[in-house]
Amino acid sequence: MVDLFWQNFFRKDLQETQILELLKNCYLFEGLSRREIRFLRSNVHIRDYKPGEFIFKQGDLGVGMYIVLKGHINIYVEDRSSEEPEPQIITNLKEGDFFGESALVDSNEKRTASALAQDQVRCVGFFKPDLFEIIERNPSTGVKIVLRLCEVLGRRLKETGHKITELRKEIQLIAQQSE
Amino acid sequence: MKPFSSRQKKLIREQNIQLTAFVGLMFLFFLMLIKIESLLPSFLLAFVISYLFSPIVNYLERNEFKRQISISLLFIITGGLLALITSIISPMISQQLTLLQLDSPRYIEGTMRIIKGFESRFVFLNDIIGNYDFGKQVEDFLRSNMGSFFESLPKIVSKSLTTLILAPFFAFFMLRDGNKMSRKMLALVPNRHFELILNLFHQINQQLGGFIRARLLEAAIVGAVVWFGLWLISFPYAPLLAVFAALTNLIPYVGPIIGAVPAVIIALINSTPSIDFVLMIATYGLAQIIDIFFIIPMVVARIVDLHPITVVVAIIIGSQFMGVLGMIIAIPVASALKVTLISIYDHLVEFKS
Repeated sequence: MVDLFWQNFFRKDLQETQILELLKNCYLFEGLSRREIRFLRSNVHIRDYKPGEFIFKQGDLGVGMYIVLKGHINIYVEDRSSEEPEPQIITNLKEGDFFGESALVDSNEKRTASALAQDQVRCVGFFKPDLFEIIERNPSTGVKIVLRLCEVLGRRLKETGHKITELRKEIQLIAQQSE
Repeated sequence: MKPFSSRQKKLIREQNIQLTAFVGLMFLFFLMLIKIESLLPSFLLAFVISYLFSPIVNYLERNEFKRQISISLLFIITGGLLALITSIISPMISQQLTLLQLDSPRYIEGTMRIIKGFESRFVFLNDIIGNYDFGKQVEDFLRSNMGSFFESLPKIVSKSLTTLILAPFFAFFMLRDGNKMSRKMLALVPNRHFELILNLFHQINQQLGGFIRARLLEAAIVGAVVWFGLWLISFPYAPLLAVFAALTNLIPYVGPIIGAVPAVIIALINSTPSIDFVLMIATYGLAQIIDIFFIIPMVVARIVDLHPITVVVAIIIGSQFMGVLGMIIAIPVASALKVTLISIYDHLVEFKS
């Protein structure tokens, strides 16, 4: 009984600490001071998803990114050009991972993959209007976040470039072998 | 992914119920605003104040002032300034109103003389409109309305006091907790529609903020130009006419014409010298030239562009529902509706594959 009381009484505080910790440890927000993290906290959204619920679907309008606070998420793509598109899982995300960040900078961004909750999931959502609000009210924090965002996107671009080079090499190899 | 399909259907059903509850709640809130007297004008004015103040509060916050302190500081300074201006202007305005009340029989008579003059010039119209006594109708209307306007003026002022006290109170909390409140409201939106509604909310907020600030700046500049111009030629009731011109300028297309009508009538009745008459018309013309060629292209044009037919239809609908207030708020409401519909359409047609 006492346990239940304390759990309920402190649950909110515990959750808040958890959110602040998550934001502090997220790569995108590294380098932000404690005050800036608290300001960021007041500008994010907490969303809950049931098992089997879509966080977003491939082709939907994307407005921002999510950080996993609790649970597991599958990211998968469907080849929509084929008649019976077979979903292909790209990655599985867990607590602390973030996804969908390119939607923060791209206008009218369509989601290139779907995100599906595997179990009870809680996410922290950070969207374009929130980023604009931060830039408007606290530009130095905004710049720090945008710089980190550029870094992440640049890294992803480099990785994609490497993958393309590797794939080209594989194609060339297959072509040589078939000759 | 297929095993989830039946579960997906259940989730979609649940979310649709959630969305209906959210829309229902919003509807109830608006119904409450409309039904409870003086709540709607207070809320509208509070929105206008918060949209007007938010760039200044954000500027102060950018310069290391805490948000609460910035808002309090702004309210104290603005309150003080308004009290000072009111104490200077109110004797002038009340003097002008008393003068207008004393002069009103003369102006009614003068208006009648002008109408009779027109009637005698256009006798041929009698065959078309029959024996309709237009002059008598106008005279009756003016006499009854002028009288009741001055009698009910103290009542109008005391009624507006509730709005004038409530609006800054609401505006203070909108500025301080608006972000938190909108986040709490958005938390009720089902996951499936969350990003769309968040985006919509942001766009409407941006459009409305820009629109309100631009229109108020426009009205203030028009009012100032009219006041200065009429004061230069010592035209009677210059402050009242300037306030009237500024307010009616908020109504697109017809507003500027309505704004100039009282000055033209006063000039005709007082048999103002033709040079002053020309200067008075030039003052109103100059205000409109500044408005059309400088303020609208630089400030207002960035905001939602509505087709003239949409504007006129919106004004008519607004006037039917809420009179003059309806005419003024018709365009922001129509703009908000346009943004909402375009965003929903884009989302449904372009983004949903």
